[in-house]
Amino acid sequence: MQKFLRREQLAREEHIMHIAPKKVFEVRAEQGLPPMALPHTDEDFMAGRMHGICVGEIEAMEGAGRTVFDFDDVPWEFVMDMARQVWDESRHTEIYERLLQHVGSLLGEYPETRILWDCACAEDPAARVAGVNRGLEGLACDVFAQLINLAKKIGDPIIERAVDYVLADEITHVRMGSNWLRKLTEDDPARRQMALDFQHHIDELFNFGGARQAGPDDKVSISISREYRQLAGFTDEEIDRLIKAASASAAY
Amino acid sequence: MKLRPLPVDAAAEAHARHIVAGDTAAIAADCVAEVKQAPEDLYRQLGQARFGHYHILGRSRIGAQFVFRIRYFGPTVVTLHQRFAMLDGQWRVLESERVS
Repeated sequence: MQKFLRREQLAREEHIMHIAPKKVFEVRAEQGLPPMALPHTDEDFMAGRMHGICVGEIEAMEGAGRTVFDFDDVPWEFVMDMARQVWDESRHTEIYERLLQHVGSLLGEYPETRILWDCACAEDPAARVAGVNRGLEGLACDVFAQLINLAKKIGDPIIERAVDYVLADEITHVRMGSNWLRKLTEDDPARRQMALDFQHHIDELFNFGGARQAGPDDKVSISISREYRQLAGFTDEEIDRLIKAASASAAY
Repeated sequence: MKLRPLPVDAAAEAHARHIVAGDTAAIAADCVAEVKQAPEDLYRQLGQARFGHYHILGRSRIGAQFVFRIRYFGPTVVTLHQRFAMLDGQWRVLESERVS
């Protein structure tokens, strides 16, 4: 079986359309829309956001599954933790599919960019957990915290509680990733730094040119959540670094 | 479960029928004057192909526009992403891209 799949090789039902993120941003810009939806720019904000998360969870499930298989020289406990993450992500996929229906949408109504999958393809396992578990799951902490707050504002306890349930897992995934980053690079500071550099690259990518900021949930596309990042084990220094990098990202 | 039908669906079906029929005038009327094509001579290539039928595989929303994934069947099988926007009260093709 092939290792390290490319994005074009992901199996999908044909109604789920793969469109490159650059293309999506261009088409949105043509319509005078920001690259990423905001509650006040997109009337279908909740459906679009929920759809993006749902396909993201599918990619996360596939990514963790590939990580179970892609690496030969890793501890068995690492493989088991990745297998547990596959189970978590499959549960998240089911939850978000149902939340999508809850907001009146269906899988396939919006494009899938596969940008998350692209970021889960590091060839070193330490870089992979740094990029995925700390970078992407850290992003999930931001996105889900914002969604919970928005759900509270609109008075939707189903979204609020379902997303809170998923967020608890994401916090665990971040902690697990931090743990394995440390263990896999215990005697190799250069390897650890390369993995962290990859994570910072992912963080910068998902600042989306200024779309992610520390700011009010209904005013920024993605609001950085200090509270949940702290729960996930990020240090204040790391969170401040992210906020500083996000505010320095080119404004779109 | 299927996506709920929208008015743009009829425009996509009509355009697909025109391509299968090889009706170049109708195809041109469906599109904006500067329709984006990938490859650049996509519609010329489609005009030279012979298709028996089509199948709409998916419809995806980006803002107020819709991208349809449509497969055309003949001696050659071609899959396109075709983007529609509402202009002056009519759904028009802004872009057609061959994806396989």
